[in-house]
Amino acid sequence: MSNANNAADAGAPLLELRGVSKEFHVPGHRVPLSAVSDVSFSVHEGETLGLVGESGCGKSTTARVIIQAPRPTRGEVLLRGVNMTALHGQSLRKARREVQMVFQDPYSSLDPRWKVRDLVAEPLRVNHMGTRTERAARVDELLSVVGLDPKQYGDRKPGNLSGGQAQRVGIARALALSPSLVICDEAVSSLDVSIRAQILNLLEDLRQELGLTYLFIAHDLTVVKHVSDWVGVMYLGRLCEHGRSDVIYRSPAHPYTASLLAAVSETATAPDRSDAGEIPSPFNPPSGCRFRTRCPYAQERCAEEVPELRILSAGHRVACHFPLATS
Amino acid sequence: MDEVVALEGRRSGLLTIGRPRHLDWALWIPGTVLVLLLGACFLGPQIFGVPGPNVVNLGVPHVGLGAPGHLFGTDELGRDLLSRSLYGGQTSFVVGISSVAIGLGLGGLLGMVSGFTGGWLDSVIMRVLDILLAFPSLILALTVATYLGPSERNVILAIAFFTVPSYARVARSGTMQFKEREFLLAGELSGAGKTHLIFRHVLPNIWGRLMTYGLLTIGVAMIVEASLSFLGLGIRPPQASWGAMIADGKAYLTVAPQMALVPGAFLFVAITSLNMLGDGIRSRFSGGELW
Repeated sequence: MSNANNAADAGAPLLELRGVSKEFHVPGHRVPLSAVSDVSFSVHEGETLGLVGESGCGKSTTARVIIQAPRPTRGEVLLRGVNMTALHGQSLRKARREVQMVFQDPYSSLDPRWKVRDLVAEPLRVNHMGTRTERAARVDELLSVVGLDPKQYGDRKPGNLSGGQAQRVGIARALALSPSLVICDEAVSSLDVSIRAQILNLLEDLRQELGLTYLFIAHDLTVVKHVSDWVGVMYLGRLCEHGRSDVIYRSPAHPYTASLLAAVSETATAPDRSDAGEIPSPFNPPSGCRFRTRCPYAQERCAEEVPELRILSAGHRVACHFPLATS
Repeated sequence: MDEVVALEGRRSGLLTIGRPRHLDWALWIPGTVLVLLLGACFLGPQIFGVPGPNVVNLGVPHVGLGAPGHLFGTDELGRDLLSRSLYGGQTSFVVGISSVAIGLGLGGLLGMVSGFTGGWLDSVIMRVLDILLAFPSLILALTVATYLGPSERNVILAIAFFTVPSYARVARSGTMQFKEREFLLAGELSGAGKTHLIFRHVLPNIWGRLMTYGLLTIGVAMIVEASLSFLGLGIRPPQASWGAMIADGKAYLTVAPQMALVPGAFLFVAITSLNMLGDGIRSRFSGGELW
């Protein structure tokens, strides 16, 4: 399953998830909450994977499990072929430098009592990188890279920055350790639409300049469309479709992907409202295909058999017994 | 976002938070009284030129209030009550403040480590502290003071000991609250160790509420000191302390009520101001957010 990506992607992937599951034990519930269930995908160097799905579908948990905070219940996370799940202490800390995260709410991910300059310098300082003056120079450089004038903003605190500015600080911080993989967890979701475009452009520029690899998590397919080479769609903890983004946007094979696309497109040719109804409880997910309770095409087989993620065409995998016809 | 704004306001200083002005007196009046009282206790003896606290003058025992040379009268040995009250105040404040400082440091550290680490360590630390908390505080202090023997240092230790659990609780609840904030995860991701996260991120963020709570408990600590001294387990005579002076005075209540009333009045003013100041600060900090 892990080799299901396009054969054109030569070499080992930068990040690979193999059958990753995460269950939480919630007080008051006898059964564990299944947040992520048997998710496998890989991301190659220099590419961007967009991970989409409704809130609560497990996409953020997937991101957290990659950085081992918390660790997955089952499965393996490989970074450059190194199994992160087997690392502890100092070696895990070292491996984590390769993966940095940009969070949804910069006001929550930046300590309100720290100055911008110190926030960006923190990763360098705790890793004992460079002298004080070298770090200061690096901080100025990082701030300039994300489009903030160090003189003007360096001594401010997060509370005195706009949402977009604060998010730029968050990005500068994430870049401080020169990571190879940057996980953007809903990094633009809390921003105004106008600011959102600026930040997305910044991220795209940084990718080209620094050769970054992104795991881009969003609940909005339109955001993902502009930045992603690959798209993964999650529903109730499972990966239901994964493929090259042009393929997915042109001809989605999973009814859930189709309904997500229909929700954001302006075309009148939307299929049946398959996203109607409530999301089932993650404590007690539906048998078989987890989407069947809201799927307009559900049949008996969907309740009996869990659909495996199978290759539909080169670079396109879907977990559905009755995939939509691909045009 | 609202949280951030609130923190922002808190940082900009006590007196600039956008609150109605009529709340100011709740801080200013007890604050001024306390400053005056502290000034009187620590600088007063020099300024007023009162006789030494232990100068015995058997010629003028039990002089009443307003007597020439002895504004607040004298005790059974003719010692000046104003002087003894001021020096006694020094003892009370030193004991109150240093026991709170020790208790706050130790309890704060335990609470932060406990809340930050979680798991079994958290359970063990908190259960042990719960047991301590279940004892009536005075009984606990009495036990420790009896065991260590009466002296100013031991009184400080005894009081610090029983206040540790409550500081730990305050520190822990604050830590838990900030643990949910992503900046700790962000710090961890950047490679920061626990010590760095606790002292550079958690501590500055819960410092305000720890200090407020500390201020509130200085009054309690001073009461306990007075109680221990009253019971003869605190300050050793002839060193003056408000509690010890009240204890001395109780034998002469009918003959020389000023012996108990003068130090009692000082204690009353000090404790009331401390409590009012604590309450004032607490209501400043947007209600329940503090705890």
